[in-house]
Amino acid sequence: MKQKTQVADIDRSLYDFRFEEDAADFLSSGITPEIIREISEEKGDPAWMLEFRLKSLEIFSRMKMPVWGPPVDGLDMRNIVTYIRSKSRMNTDWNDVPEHIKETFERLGIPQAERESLAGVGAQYDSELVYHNVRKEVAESGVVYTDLESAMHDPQYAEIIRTHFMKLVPPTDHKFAALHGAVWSGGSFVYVPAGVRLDIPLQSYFRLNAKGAGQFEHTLIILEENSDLHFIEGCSAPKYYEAGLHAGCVELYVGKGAKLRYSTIENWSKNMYNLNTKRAVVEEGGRIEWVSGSFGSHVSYLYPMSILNGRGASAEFTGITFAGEGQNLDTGAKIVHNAPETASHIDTKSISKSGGISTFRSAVTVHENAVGSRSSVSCESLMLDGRSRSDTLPVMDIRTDKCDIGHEAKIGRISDDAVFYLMSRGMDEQAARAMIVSGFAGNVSKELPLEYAVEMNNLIRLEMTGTVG
Amino acid sequence: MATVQLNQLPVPTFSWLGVNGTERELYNGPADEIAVSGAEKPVTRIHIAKSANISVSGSKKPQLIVMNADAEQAVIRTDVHAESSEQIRLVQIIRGGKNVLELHAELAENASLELIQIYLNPADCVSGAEIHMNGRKSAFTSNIGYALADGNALDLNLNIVQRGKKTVSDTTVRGVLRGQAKKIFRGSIDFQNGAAGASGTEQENVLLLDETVINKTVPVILCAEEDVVGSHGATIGKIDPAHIFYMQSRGIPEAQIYEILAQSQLGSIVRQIGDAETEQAVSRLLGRESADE
Repeated sequence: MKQKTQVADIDRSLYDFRFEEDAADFLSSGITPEIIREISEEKGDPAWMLEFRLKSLEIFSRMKMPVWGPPVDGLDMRNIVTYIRSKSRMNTDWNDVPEHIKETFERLGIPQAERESLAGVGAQYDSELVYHNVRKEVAESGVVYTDLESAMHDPQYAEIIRTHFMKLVPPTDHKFAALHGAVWSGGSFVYVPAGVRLDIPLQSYFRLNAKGAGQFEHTLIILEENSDLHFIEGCSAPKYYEAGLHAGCVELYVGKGAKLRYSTIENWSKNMYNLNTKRAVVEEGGRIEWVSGSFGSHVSYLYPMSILNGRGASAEFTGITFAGEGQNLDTGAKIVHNAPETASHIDTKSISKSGGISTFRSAVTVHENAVGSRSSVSCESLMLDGRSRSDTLPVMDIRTDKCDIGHEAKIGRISDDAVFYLMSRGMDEQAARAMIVSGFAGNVSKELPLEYAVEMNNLIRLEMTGTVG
Repeated sequence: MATVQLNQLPVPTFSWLGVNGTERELYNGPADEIAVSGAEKPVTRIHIAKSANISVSGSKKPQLIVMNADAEQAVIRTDVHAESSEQIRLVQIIRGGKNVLELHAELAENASLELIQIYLNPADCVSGAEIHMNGRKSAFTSNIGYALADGNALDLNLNIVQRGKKTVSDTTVRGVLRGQAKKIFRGSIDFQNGAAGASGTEQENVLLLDETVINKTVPVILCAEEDVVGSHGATIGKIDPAHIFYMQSRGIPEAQIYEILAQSQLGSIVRQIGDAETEQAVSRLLGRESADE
């Protein structure tokens, strides 16, 4: 009798450790004007920010839940704690970070990565940054890498924050953007001056330790003309039975001729609702590159958007989504061509197994003024069993004739011919199938820095037994 | 007239794109009741000048039904039932007018439906088709062509539900847009659980001839079965400059080149009709409408 090949769920044991909360400030669950005022007071917001938060709350209250996408009925906002401050304040010396937090990040490999391959690191634990550091030579080049609250209170950057904060993703964008505007806390601010090119990446790592909580960090990155940055974002949380919520926001401003690569390995636990919003605006000749690996969460809505506003601006999105048991991951990308001769490319892979649901959703819009623009979209889906589901929903909205737009999508299972070919070269069937699945994910792993490619390959740990039925 | 929701995507997407469906006031004038059966004759030609409810059933012999619709305003509903091993070819030619078309088809084991739709300058046409491939090894082929000029609007929705094992669907869509033409094509292949061994392909090719056109393309694959092969593709854009250069080098004026390429875009669809009389008539119409531009 044939035995079905088994592909294991992602091994999450690395991420599923946790410490009891020792928070100094643990606000009540739910979202009310009183809670918003408490958060604002705790953080010492300027008056405009308190006003912004309260307006966002109003918008949140009147906006409806999305009528498309995975169900979010398991998320009861009345039970979500929106703000938790650790006893530890922000540190720039790793030795000053409390032991249990230090241990958390050490087990996730963050300090080691900083020593070996990063220009700077930020670490957020629940609602607040607990550590932020940048190499001396990087700071001396004029690069600013700090937590958003510090930047907001620094006279040198306060006006930049005020004029850029939630301008790309306004609270009216959708219900969870409004929620973010009301309760945001933590996150990073990066400023790269004109002409500065960082050879090694900066990284922020977000860890949500508390149960029944939300994390709402805000990342704001500004690249001036002809600058270059690789920014890496990592996220994880231990598993609880209570629903958790991540509604972060990322706003990226890429100046003329600048290049930004934004890499994310998202590995939230399977009780999390990941309702994150990411958006970049790219000026003339600039380039945004998104590299995205979505492995965790119970439900995910994630579609980084690139607005190509300057002539010759370009965007590339490379992503992989792995949906296992109990997961409904709705991911993709949005591109807006809003200037002549802009170019975009979307290349995604998705794998569904053990009843997991993976949906690729994209939107490419080419405006009247985007003459001479080019776009190509490629999405491939692999179904590993008949209990799972994989959908693709791309949309192309084209409003000029002077453009070239292409789209292709494929869905299927592991090809028997490919397995046969590899076996004819001396491989056993298990190794052949493992190689095919690894190769399927290869387009993303080769775009990641080596240590993250290794992490991703560890995440997709394949156990192959027997032959296929 | 009653306002109704039409052409709903089987799974909605971002609301701001305006592609999840459309709304129209449905004309509710008198409708003809027409029944077509392959048992009567192999080729049936129907001229439709007002609303009609058409039911099509197959027979042991292959049959061809040609519908030529030039109503100013009508609702045309067509129900197709292809029983075991029956073969039906349905050709729908829609010219001008503000029309709503609804097609519902059920295919039993080994049954096949070949659908050819050609839209020539519809003023405002909403056309939805739902094909249920319930029977094992049932087959569905569709060739859809459209030529839209300034002020024309076409809203297409093709939803192919592959439920039976080893079902095969193949969709080709080719079109030309000019002036301020607006077109949306939603094409969905829905592999349901149990459709083991099924395959489905879909390809749209759109030629844009003016900078004021609006084209929306939504190629969807829904998949709840492991053992299937599905693919879709779309190419949207202007005429390849290499083609223009080649034809200019053969002495053809540039204006004429556009007409030739626009006609050839739909030519491959017209040749699929399989009824010489209809093919010639459609080709004449295509040539005349190009010349009128």
